Amino acid sequence: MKPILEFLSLDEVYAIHQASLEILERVGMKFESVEAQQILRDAGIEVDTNGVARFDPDIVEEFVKKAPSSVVLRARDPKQDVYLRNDRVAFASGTGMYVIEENKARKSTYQDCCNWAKLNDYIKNVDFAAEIHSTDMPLELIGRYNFKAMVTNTTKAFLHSSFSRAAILDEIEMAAAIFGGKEELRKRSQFWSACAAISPLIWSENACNIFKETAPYNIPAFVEGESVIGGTSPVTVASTLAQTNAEALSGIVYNQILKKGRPCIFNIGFTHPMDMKTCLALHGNVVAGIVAAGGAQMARFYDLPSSSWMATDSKVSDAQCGYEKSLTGLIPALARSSFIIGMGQAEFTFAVDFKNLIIDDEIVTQIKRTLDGIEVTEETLCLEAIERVGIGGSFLSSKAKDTFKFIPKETTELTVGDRNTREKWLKAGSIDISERASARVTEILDTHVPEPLDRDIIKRIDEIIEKAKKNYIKQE
Amino acid sequence: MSNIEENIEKLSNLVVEGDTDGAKSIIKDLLKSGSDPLKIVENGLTKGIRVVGERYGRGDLFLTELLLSAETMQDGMRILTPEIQKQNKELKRTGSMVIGTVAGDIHDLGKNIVIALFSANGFDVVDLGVDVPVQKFIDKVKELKPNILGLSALMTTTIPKQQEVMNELKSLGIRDDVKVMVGGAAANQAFANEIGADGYAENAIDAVSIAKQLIGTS
Repeated sequence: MKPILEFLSLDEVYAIHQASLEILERVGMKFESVEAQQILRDAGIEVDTNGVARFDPDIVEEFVKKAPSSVVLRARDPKQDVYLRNDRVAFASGTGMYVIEENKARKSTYQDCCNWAKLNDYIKNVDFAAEIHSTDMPLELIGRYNFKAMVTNTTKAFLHSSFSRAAILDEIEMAAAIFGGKEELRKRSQFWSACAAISPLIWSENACNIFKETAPYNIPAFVEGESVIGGTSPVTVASTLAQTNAEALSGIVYNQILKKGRPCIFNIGFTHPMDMKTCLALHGNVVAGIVAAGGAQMARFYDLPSSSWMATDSKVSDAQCGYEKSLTGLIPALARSSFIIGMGQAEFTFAVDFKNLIIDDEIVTQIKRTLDGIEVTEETLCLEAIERVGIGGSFLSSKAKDTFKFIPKETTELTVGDRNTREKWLKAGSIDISERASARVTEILDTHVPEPLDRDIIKRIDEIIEKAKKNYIKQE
Repeated sequence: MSNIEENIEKLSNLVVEGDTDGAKSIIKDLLKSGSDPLKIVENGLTKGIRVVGERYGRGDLFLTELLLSAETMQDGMRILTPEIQKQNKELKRTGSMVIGTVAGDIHDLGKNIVIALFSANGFDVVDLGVDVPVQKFIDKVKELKPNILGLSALMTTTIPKQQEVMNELKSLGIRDDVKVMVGGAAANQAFANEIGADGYAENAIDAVSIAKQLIGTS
């Protein structure tokens, strides 16, 4: 049996589901885009003059069923495509505007984004990457530069944020250049678009537009209900699940109306507990992991892929960082969240620390081992070996040769953690995991060469960015 | 202590407890027994909110308790302000503030706490809401001439808007007409200094005392 962690009984899952339907029927969900309001009306959904849509429960259930149960995140290299389903857990790196170096934070740049993509390209446990932001570029153009940094430095799929309608249209052009045209893009898109509802109960104009512009290309929609618990959703985990579930469901309904069968990732796993004294949204807090696990269970109820975030509120790569990452990683993983983003994350989700990516890589290895559980078969019971080795014998001898094949699967190795004797550790310089991870980052960035993108495609991407730059300067 | 003084003391405790119904009831009794509404504000409401401020500053209160107390005070003021005007007296206002979350940013939880506390501390506050364009801040400063302009930004992508507002004020030659304070999780003292803001506060209580210092009251 593969271990699975369930916080909710089936009755409780139903209770939350019914609560969400009630919220959507009685309170409603506001769609700020006038275009979206009409699209909903045309589909038979009641939208009032303030743009608030109230959904018949049957309509919600009907449209949510149309969303596929698995979503493919396509990579530049098809062998690195990521299949998201709710019976497997993928891992992704985190995002940020700052890079932490030597315990100091500095704004991330285009070059940092390139290096981040490169590091992610190398780390095996990273199934797909997230961007960090090219803040040295003009505000209007950051998204396009992020896109370029990612596609030129990794062949893996990546999560992309678009900040405007103009930006997403350019980014679709760039993606089309990579995949050989918009028709091809419909079949294989390397990026996918994430939009979070504004809790409580609002889809912004920007989100509505992004969903609409990307729908024809079948680019997966990452539909998020992401509240601050106690601030923009009530303070209980149950009510937060009910509200964010309603938000995500309404987004999925809208996306299915835009394009039936559009791949959607259902996300209520980024929800933030709030520090009730300072108002800050927390990310590394264990309650975040619990909510994400509840969200994963709701997603399995709808047979949709889900996600969550492993994170820390710590500013440095210390013990708090270690334990928060472990808890917020392991709890949703055991609940079978389809993917967990956040490897390398630091300082809430404002920053990344390259050495955290190395350390989190090791944490994820151990999480994956946990997910593999305990395999009990006639073979793994090793009765013959126990008898052969006998009383007082050793299982390191050839008498136990038939058990050696289990070694890779049953044990874990460390890449940067220390399990040496004190003497050996002293000889190696008596340094801790952060220092070793830091050295590893330098080594990888110096030696790893991602598969380059075709020069003509890079040229096309640069042309698109230049055009956007000219338009932007004109507006100034 | 006289009965009136006892009740005013009770009122300040009710503000601390965030008991709006109890506070309103005592205020009505006090007014009936001829108590001076200005004294009720000063020794009942303001005294209570000061205690709340100190406790919050020490980390002893949840935000929810802070907000309830601020609401109690505001509801009390709604009853007392007309009474003060009836007597042709004037309620001393601490100052005035225009506040908003900058363009592109829709975060307002913190801003709303700041507004509650400023109101509770005798400020007249005009809330421009969220996603406020730079021009709207400028227009309102010109129109309302507030003592304080408060700019909130929670995202590192929207923090530059605070700088834009400063630049606009300077280029229009009205920079010195108002004290500008910046806040929000993405802001900090270094950034405030960099853009030439008059003040930065990490939390609502500090914001109130810094604002008072900037205006020259205490």
